[in-house]
Amino acid sequence: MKEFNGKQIRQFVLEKVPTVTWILIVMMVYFSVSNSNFLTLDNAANLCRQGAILLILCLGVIVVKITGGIELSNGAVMSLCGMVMAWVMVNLNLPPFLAIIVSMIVGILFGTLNGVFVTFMGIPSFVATLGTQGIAVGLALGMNNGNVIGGLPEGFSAIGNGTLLNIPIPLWAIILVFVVTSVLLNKTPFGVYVYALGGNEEALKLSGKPAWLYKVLAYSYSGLTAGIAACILTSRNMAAQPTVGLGMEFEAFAGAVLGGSYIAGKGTALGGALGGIFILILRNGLNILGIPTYLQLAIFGTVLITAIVLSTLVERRVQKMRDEEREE
Amino acid sequence: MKKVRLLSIIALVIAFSVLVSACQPAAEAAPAEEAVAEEAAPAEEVAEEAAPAEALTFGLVTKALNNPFWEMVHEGSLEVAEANNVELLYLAPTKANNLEEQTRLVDDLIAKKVDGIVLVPVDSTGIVPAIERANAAGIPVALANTNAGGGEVVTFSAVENYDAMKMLAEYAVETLGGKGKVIILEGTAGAQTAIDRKAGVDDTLANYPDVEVLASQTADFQRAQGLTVMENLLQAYPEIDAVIACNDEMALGAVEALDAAGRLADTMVFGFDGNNDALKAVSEDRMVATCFQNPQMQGGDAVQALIDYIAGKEVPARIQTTAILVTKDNIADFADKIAAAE
Repeated sequence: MKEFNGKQIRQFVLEKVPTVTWILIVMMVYFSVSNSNFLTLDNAANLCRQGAILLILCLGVIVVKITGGIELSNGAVMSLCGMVMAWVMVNLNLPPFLAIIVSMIVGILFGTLNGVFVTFMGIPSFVATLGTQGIAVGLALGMNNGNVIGGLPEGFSAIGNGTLLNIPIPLWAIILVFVVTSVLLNKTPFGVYVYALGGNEEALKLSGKPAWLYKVLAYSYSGLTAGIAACILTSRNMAAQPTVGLGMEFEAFAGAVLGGSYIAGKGTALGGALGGIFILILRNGLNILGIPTYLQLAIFGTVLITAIVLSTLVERRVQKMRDEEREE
Repeated sequence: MKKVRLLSIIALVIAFSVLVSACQPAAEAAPAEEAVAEEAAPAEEVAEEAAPAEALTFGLVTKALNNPFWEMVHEGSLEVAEANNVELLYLAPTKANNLEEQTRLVDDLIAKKVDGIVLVPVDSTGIVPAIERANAAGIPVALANTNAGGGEVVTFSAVENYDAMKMLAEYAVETLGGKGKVIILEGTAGAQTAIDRKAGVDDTLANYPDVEVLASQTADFQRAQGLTVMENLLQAYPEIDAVIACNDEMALGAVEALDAAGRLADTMVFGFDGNNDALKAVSEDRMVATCFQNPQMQGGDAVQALIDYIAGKEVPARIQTTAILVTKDNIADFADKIAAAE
């Protein structure tokens, strides 16, 4: 067996561990030292519950991001999924588990719509997803004349607030979506094509493989995650509000970028999840320290840029190491 | 290269620490304590445990950062808090009127184990589980401005939006002489206050068949939106007698649009809230009337109720803030607020 020297180990760590991990560790240590309420079981459970929504969205966005696309519709689609699922529960008396399936279907439909716009009509993903965002918000607002849908069945609350084997159900949802995303990206042809789409789409097309199918599926998957996130969101509020998800798309996108996928064809499920956790913990920690919101925004922006600059530096360093290795 | 990386990480940590500690509210009150706490974290814990009874910490959560109205609620709350030696943390969703973010803020305050929460719910139905979580954690919640549909709250301090808006709409109809072409600017679709105020206007105008509603559109409670919506409506309707806006920010946006089109003299603008800029506009005849709903008092009363509740005193379940119709006749009473707007 080949012996590893220090340099190889370093290269391995830099390549495989998303840079955001280190910043995350530093940040968590800082928050823990600064306030005794940060590192508690209560807050951990709180983070799982509130974080599931963003994390699940991030895991969908990263797939689109790897193909080189941008996803701006998931916040609005999530709102619409929530409205539809609340509507079917209240008006059709559908049991929660069926409503969840309905929500996922609506999500997949809108995701697929994005994919079709981008693939067959050649609309840039930025514009296409912005368009579907508008459609989704409009429909969500129109469904109940802009009003909230409340009065959901009692049992539905369990999804966002209950536990299974002492673990909050939203955490199970995160784990499930994370595992599915990892497997999809690493163990299936879908993953191979997703990376190929981001790496060199032209080459993939010339090879005669159905590139379009996988591109559409990448967007469908992001739609599906919006549908899943909608279940947790709606359950946490026990009501569906038509504009609740607006703006989430930017947080999810920032998370995906932080997770290492600022270059098309790059990124992992782990990176996407860590990016989401980073944003979440930063906001949670600043709240727990009691920093006024307007200052939080400035701090948030500063840290975000620092984190991305750092990731870029590391990326370059890894590239250089690889080049050196090749020369040797 | 390794050094560079290490250095950049250290730089990041320092930059972050400086930023965060510079921003911590505690730093203003007790710089010495803060310095100690920075050096040795356990010291802070000891300090906290030693004096739990004296210094209460409350969290105030409003609906948005970009509306001066919430800043006034904050002002009033802060005043009462400071007078009672209570530390007040102010949080608001960065995305205006966003329920998901507001829920997160309340949950974070619960995790922080504050002694009480003053909350202005973005949505009356959707906020209920968050209030119930605070109840479960034993943290008292007082509502200001907007009510919630459930959960246990210490009090609810607000004007009755529906009634106050009716009062304003009646005055508008009276000024119009019982007839005319009217435009309504609605608040954020789905927001509770928007629904209540819209109902107040609609129910009033329904009694006056000679008042024609040309259009009723949302401008999201925002000034910039009020401007663009009004600009569009001005194109569509050559004759507009009055604009009834469901908050002052939208009314002020409409005033800008009317002024730019040279039609402010023909159109009366009515607002709601009584924020400083609107009071100034009334004094300058740019707006006809607004409804002062005393945001400072709404916030301050809620804070006071929490303090009393924790001290074991009886607190009324509903604190009615009196809404005052502000017109040219009584604008002199608000001279200090108008001065603050300048």
